[in-house]
Amino acid sequence: MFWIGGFKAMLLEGDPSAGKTSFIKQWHAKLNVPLETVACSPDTQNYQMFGQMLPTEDGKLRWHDGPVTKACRLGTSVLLDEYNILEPGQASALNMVLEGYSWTIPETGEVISPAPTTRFFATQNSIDSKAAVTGRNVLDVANEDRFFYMEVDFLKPEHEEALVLRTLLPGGVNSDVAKNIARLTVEVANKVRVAFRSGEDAIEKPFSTRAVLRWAKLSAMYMPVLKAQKQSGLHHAMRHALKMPEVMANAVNEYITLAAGFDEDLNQVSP
Amino acid sequence: MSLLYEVYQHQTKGAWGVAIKDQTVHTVVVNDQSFVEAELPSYQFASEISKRLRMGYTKTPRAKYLKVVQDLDGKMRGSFVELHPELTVQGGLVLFTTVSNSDDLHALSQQWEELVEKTDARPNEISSWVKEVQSATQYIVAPATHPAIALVLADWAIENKRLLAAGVEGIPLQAPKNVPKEWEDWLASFFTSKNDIRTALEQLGWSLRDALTRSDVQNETQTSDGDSWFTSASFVAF
Repeated sequence: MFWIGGFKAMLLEGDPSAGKTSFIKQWHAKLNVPLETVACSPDTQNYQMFGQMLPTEDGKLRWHDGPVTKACRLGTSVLLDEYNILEPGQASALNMVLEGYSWTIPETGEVISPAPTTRFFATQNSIDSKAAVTGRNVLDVANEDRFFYMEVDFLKPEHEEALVLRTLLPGGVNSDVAKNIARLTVEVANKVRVAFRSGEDAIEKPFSTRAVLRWAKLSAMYMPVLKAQKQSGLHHAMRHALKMPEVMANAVNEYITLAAGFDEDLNQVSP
Repeated sequence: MSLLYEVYQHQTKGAWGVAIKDQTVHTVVVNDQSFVEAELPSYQFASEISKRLRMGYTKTPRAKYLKVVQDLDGKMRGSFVELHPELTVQGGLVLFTTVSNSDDLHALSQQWEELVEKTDARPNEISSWVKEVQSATQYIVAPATHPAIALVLADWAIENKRLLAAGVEGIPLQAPKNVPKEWEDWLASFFTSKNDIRTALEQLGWSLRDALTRSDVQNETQTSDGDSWFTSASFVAF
């Protein structure tokens, strides 16, 4: 709707690692539309987005387009990653551009009229997310008002399981074993996500799909070796798949035990 | 074998059903007071139908099975039903497979009984199921009395590449011993406690732990690169 409706700017919001950035990148890759990316930080300045005068070999100064200006000229897209880390003043400088108005490069006097197909995508973690995401700013109302809004959630279990299978099967993992690992890792990840959102103290961050894939792959790799030692590859792999504070690691270990029905020493745990 | 009857309905006289099998015409009269089965020579088939039509019977649109049940007084009562009688089980149906002519139902039921007896299924649940299996003509059914019954039947059906059907979608395609987690999740819509399903899987020796630590699991090497990361990881010692 955003794309075919001709809207100019989209704000994607969601938990850390929900796949906001990947979604935009994949979208553009599928459509074969170039995407300029700005990794926003508190120190990001306007010139890093719009461009600046830089010295040439013969000692003169020449204008170099930044990603925003370049996209406006070509009618391509810009991804402003982690948008609400930007200082509100810097973000507001984008207001006119987000509306599609022309603007002038002060250094050269050139008037830039954004091509009609220019689009802006901003991703950010929600300011009220329970994740320990520091340094988030509240966008000013005028700036926020310019965005088409989209919330990004984690993948549906069946889709995430399919992704896990796509990671495991090409590596040579037996398909039944891969299915078992996929079902379990996604189940545990979703339990952790629910616990995180419901404010459970021990769970400081949700599991990203990236972490699930890593955990699943490591589980498959550790299992053959560890089962001979009467150890659970699933439990062991989690220690290497994601850095977590001890309290969270213990809680996640318990989630794995409950979902799998056995503990780290492969002892069956009564339901 | 339950026959499929063409059913003719009369406003006051009840229903009359007719089916042909092996050159014999089987008829059934079903009404509130009586349930009478009869056999006629095949040459009487057309005339019998004409007679019923003249009496005011009208043909119902769909063929039906005859379901016979014994009431509390010990009297046999019949009714015409659209669902095969073997598929209408007490307590609800989880899944079913079909009977083949080559199936030795007595031997199979004994084999399954031994397996289900390893679990905490009650003896009367097991014996009534075994009885149903032994008398099955077209369908072998797993009722929703204990998860072990469904697991054992599903395992046999899948391992023997037999049709496996269920009323609830998403039935796993691999045997319970191979993908116990999928079965645990799927069966959860039939049994109130997911723990009972997991316990049954454990008692059968088909738990997730068993599936993940089995020694007979083969790697699946890819055609393009025989040396997968999984194979390499298997040789790592630490």
